[in-house]
Amino acid sequence: MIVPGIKQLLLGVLPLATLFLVWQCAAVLMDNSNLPSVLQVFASLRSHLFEGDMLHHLLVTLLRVLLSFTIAMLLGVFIGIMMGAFTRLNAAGDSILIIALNVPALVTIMLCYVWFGLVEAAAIAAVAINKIPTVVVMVREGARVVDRDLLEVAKVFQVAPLRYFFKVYLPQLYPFIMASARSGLSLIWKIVLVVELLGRSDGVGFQLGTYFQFFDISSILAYTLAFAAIILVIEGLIMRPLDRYIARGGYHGQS
Amino acid sequence: MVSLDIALQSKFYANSPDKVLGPLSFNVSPGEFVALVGPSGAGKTTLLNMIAALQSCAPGEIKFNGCPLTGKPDCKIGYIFQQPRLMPWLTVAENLRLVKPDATESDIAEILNKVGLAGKSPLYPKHLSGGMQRRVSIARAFLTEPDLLLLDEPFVSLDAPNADNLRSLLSELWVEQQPSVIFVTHDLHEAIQLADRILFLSSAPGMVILDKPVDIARPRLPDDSRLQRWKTELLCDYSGLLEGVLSGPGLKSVSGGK
Repeated sequence: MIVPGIKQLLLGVLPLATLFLVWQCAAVLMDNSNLPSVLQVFASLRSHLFEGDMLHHLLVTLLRVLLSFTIAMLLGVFIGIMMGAFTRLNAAGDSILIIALNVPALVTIMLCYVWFGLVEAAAIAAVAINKIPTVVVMVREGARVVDRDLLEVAKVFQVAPLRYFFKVYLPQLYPFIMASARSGLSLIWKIVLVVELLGRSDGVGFQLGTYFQFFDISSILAYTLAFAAIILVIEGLIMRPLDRYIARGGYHGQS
Repeated sequence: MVSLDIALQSKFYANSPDKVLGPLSFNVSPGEFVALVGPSGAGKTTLLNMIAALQSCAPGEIKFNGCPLTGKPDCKIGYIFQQPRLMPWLTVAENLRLVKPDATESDIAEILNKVGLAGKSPLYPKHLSGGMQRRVSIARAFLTEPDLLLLDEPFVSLDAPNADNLRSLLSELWVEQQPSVIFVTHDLHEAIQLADRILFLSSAPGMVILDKPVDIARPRLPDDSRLQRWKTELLCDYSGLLEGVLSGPGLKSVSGGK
């Protein structure tokens, strides 16, 4: 039992260690202020974390990510189910969906700020709007291939509507919702940084903008590392256990 | 218990000019076990689905206790499908509780015990063999104590001993709860063993070509010689019965009898 555990750990850590090693060597060899070494970045990370206000900015960004993520998932799942279930709605909404998918994030952000002002709600909305279409597309695929046979079982045995939705219908969409959640988290935190850069006075994006003006590459990399670490923790503590929960009974979409 | 009156004019496939069923009429008395035997494509499953309100019928074509079926039936229906159709993400107990939310632990344990799955309640369907999954679907249907039980070739694709076990299990549970039963099969022997009455359907569009009571005293074991004799006599009288054609020497006596 111990040996596989070590193997797992090595598989996870080894690539990361190699990356840091290559980076460190390159930085030392090039000796250029535009490519700080790993040690410099970690020193910067330490000073930002313990002497600066990095924690505050990380928290603000994380809150924005979670809020817009939740809104985007709820709305996206709802619209996706509707479009997957009703062919007419799907036909009517399809062209709008394609446009929504292809409007550049930057445009949505700018328009939200112009129309709603440089406020928190505009920032959150801008991010959510960017993410909703991709959730819709994935969940719609799931809603199209729901197993009619299982729905018939529920109908014959007269399962009450709420139980029907949560025990029979929705579990068939979990793999699709999970896939969109996972791709969503990464997309959303990238967009949140742009939103912050353009119109907020706190958060990781705002900080990155500031350090960019001073060409403080160490700080930029330190902030990136810090946030990447947070995403890894979310992945490990929330997404992976959710995955295991959904895969119980060996169901991975489409029986 | 429920009585059922069927008087179908015609039933077409969705978006197709091909007629599946009709004209066709028969009735099922309360607590009666009726088998429907017919060649594949005779619309047997369609008929069951119409009775279960999964497919539409014209007003008044199907009556429960004399009341026309509108929307969903107002009696409890149990349906044992050709495939077990268990929710893979629910355990055996959760699958059972899905159709009867107020079932207690002991209700679940009792029905599982009856179908020979004692102690399997925390398992997911994928951990069960095909035969065991069938047992769960039988347990699910009987847990609701249905007034009407529909079965769509439930024992097809099972090995013979397994199928025999499940047939006797079905018989026991039917005797215990006395639901009215419509049992669709293309296995005549199975129909003779289980049913009070056998309806033979023609090939598409399905019509009842022969309505034959099975006058063999129960219990009937699968290797009972009476079953084989009954079957042989029937097929002597009506040679094309299983192909959905009414032909043979018996035809004369029927029309002469009328």
